[in-house]
Amino acid sequence: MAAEGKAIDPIHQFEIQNIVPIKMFGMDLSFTNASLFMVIILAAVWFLMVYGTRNRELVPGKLQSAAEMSYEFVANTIRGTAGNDGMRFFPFVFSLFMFVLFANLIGLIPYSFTVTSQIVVTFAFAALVILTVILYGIYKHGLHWFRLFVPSGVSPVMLPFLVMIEVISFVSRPISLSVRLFANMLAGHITLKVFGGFVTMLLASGAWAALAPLPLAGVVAISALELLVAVLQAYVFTILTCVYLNDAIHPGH
Amino acid sequence: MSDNSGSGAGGRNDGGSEELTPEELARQREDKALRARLDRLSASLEARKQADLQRENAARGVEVPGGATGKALSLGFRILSEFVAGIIAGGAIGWLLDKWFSTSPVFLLIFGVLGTVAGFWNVYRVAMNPTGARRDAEGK
Repeated sequence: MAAEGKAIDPIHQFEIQNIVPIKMFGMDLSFTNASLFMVIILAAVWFLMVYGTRNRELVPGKLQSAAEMSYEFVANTIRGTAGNDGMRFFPFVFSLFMFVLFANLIGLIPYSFTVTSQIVVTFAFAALVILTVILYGIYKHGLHWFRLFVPSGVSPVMLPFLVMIEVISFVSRPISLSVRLFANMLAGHITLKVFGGFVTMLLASGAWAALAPLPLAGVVAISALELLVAVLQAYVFTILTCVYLNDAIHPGH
Repeated sequence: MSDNSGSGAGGRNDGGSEELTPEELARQREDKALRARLDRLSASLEARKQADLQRENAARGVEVPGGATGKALSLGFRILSEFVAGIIAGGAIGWLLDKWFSTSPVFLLIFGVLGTVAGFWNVYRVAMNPTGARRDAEGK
């Protein structure tokens, strides 16, 4: 794993490396390992959705039922949180869910790169969600949408205070949305690397090698947990996106 | 009595079936058969629906090993991140206002406190409705 010589560097896996350096308009637009894995993720999603449903069989095969299940899952999530009106955001939410899910899962493969462990990526998604909420809310409800920040049935003395809290709470949404996904992926992968590093360190230290199976068992257990976390975090990201979109569609709570 | 033999229920009750024309008898039999078939169909449909519901519930009940732990972990992490994000957002707003009006540290302090309150408010909201299910949909 990460043990080259005696240096075990659990952060090394998150480094961005240029594959094809491109300099354009004074900006660094290089094709990096992150870009490569984004392309791989898109190819995997494309394969599942387009190749999987190519025959449109009445009795679906494995790939087709996986594609149909992901569709149903996201559609049910949207209907459950944002109502039927939320279905107009289905393409957006579905793309987000599939990308995050595949990024998390592909990141679990050894030697691969986890795109969602970069806060730039997760914050870009979160900002996209919040911008969609704000723009659609104003487009749909005009200035009435800002009633979202005004709780009803409060005394006028407390009102400015509560409005301020609501605004801060709204501003905190993209932060929590992006940090949660990023931190989960980062922490999980670092833990895996550190435990893997324990194995190699113990193996290289004479009699202590007898203890090596302990962290190895830990790696196995954590890998299973990480698989769960990868799926759960994609789900949490999706459901919170729907909850926020619900505020844009029905601002009246 | 003989003149109202056509009206179904009354005619049948007092044994006036002899008075019905053969076509009407046949229609009655057909109706009965159709109703029986409909009943059978709706019963089997209901049974299938029940089975689907049960299967769904069973699937929901089946836990992956460590699934509860993972869910609890993710909920705990969600609450933590909502709380911290509130403080960060408040602090960032206060810091920016201070920078614009060069009133450091007045706004940072005010918005730091407000951000903490907003963090608690976020946590309260998560705790009240962890899955984000719509309230009106639930109430129906």
